Amino acid sequence: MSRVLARRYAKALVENLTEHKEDFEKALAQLRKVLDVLKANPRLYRYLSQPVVPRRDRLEMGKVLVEDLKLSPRIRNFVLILVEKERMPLLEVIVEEFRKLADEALGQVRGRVRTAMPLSSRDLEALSKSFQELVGKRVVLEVEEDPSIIGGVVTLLGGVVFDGSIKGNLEQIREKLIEG
Amino acid sequence: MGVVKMRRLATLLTALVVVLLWVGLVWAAEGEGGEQHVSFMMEAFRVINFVIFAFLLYKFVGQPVKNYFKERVHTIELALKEAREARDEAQKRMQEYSAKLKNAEVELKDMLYQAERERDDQMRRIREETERMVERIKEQAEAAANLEVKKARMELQREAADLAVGMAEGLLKENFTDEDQKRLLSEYTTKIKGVH
Repeated sequence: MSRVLARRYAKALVENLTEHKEDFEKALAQLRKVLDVLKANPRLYRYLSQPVVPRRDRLEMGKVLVEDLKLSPRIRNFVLILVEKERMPLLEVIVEEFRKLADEALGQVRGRVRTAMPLSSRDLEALSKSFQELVGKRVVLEVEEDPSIIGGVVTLLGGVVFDGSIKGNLEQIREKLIEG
Repeated sequence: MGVVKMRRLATLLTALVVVLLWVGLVWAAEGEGGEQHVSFMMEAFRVINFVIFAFLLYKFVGQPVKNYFKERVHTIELALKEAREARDEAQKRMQEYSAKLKNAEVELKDMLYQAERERDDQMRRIREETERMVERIKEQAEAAANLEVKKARMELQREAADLAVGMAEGLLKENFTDEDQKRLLSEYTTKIKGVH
């Protein structure tokens, strides 16, 4: 039920941004920023989420938050609507649904790349292009540094893992050695 | 007068004659004289007395005595008959028991034979079952031993693999460079392109 509701809010935001020709990626980044701040401050998150807190107080606190984060007017209004309508507990699901809807609207797929060392924008672009050729859609890759893979990269795209890491290779070698 | 009464009277007269002859002989043996005459009278009186006594005895005691003996004869005959019957019954029973005993012996032999057969069958079955069980246990033991060996081998292989991979991982971590990362990324990109 909450996912249906979250999807409804996410869809409204996508439509609003499309209407005003605003960048989805920028909006997504700002929503994630809000989510990260609230996750880092659980008391603030609870304050903005709980219906027992008077609406006026919640809105005042919400305004402080969006001002501090310097959000775009549409994202700012969207967050304040969530605060007012007591939908802040759905924020994480809304962000997730927004990402999916935005990707659908842009005809793109989103993947996550784990890398042992930072990737240059050129390497990332080359990687995106490779996957783009593979899936036939624009591919947006989100990078995450993970030294535990030692070297190489691991990409998760559309539920499929493309493992090109040292760690993964070592694991394969280990399995082969065990099988004899 | 019936034949029985005639016979009785003849018996009585014969007895009287015998008594008189006996008295006469006694008298003749003792000699002549007045005293002898008195004695004869006395003897005759005694005889008559005896005859009267015998008659009275016959008249009053004869019938009960006869009845007693008749009854006694009857009782003895009955007893004899019962004894005969009992003997016959006993013989019959003895024959029956003999027959039964004979049958029982046959049955006993048969039962013994059956019991022996049953025992032999049972022993054979137990022996076969035991052999099968032993075989099964041996197979299970062999399988368990093989499994243990396999497990131990796999464990060794796993340990060796862990050790080798651990060592390789350590070396790679120490010696991995940016150049290596670029090379790996390039290979990775090529492989992705080669997938489709």
